[in-house]
Amino acid sequence: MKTPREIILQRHQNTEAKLDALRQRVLREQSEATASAPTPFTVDRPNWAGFVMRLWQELVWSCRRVWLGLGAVWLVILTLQLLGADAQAVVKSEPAPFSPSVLEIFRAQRRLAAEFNDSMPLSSPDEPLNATRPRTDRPSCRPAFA
Amino acid sequence: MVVVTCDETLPVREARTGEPDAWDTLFKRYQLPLYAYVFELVRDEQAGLDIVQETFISAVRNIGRLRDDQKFGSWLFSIAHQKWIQHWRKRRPEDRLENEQAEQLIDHEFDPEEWLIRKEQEEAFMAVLNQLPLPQRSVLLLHFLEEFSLEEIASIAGLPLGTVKSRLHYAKKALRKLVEENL
Repeated sequence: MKTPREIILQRHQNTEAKLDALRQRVLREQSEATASAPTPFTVDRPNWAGFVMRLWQELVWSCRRVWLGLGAVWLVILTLQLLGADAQAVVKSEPAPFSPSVLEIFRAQRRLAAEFNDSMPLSSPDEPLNATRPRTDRPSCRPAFA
Repeated sequence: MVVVTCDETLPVREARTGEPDAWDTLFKRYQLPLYAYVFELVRDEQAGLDIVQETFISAVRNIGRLRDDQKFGSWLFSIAHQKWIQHWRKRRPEDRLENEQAEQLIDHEFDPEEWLIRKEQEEAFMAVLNQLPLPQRSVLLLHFLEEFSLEEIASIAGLPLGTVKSRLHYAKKALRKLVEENL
């Protein structure tokens, strides 16, 4: 006893050879059609537009989410850089002006320095203050009544 | 070399990449059931071979449209069914494949294994099968040859599920009558 499937297929078994030839012909024609189809890398007729499109699809479009993420990260970094540069530029371009009190202090210091320099005789740097001199010439040994 | 395992894992994924051996395996698996299906509808050897060839060519060109690799068989038969419809409209434009109103039927599980035909009944079985109207014959062949589910047959033939059930019901009824007559 046979199933309906077995009965039906058995009736067409003798067509198997024709079907094999048909199958091989179809596959051969499809292989030839695929082989002769122009590709972006054909040397004879360079298809630059197709080449660029293929590069775009394989390098960029296929991993567009990764590229978008990288772009967002770079945008953040660039924004932070620009903000930091602005802050530094503000600091450098506007030096803090001296306040009047500071200027007054500078003037007072200058006056004192000038008075100090005027009152003190300049001694020769080579002669020490208590160099060996006749005792009578030393100011510290002069008699008080002289 | 593409090998088909015992659980019939067809190399559809390899075929998508254009591997010739994969296509050879796929076509070899389906060429006879496909031809038998088409022949039993057109009843002409050359027309049947032409339709099978057109089906194979269309499958290679449009494999990208197949969404589920597991449905390759039903997808291939749906292409063949469409090619048969086009052939039918060219040859018999005045005839129409009537789409009878689907009845509310009990959802019987149609088990082809339950149909065991004795050798002396084989000719009568084929005669009854060929007498069936084309719409019923089509769904019965799909169920016998590849054990497609009702949903798959509905998808292949582009019919509502109720219509498929109705056609199978009447086709089974006619065949069962034959079996009972010959007991």
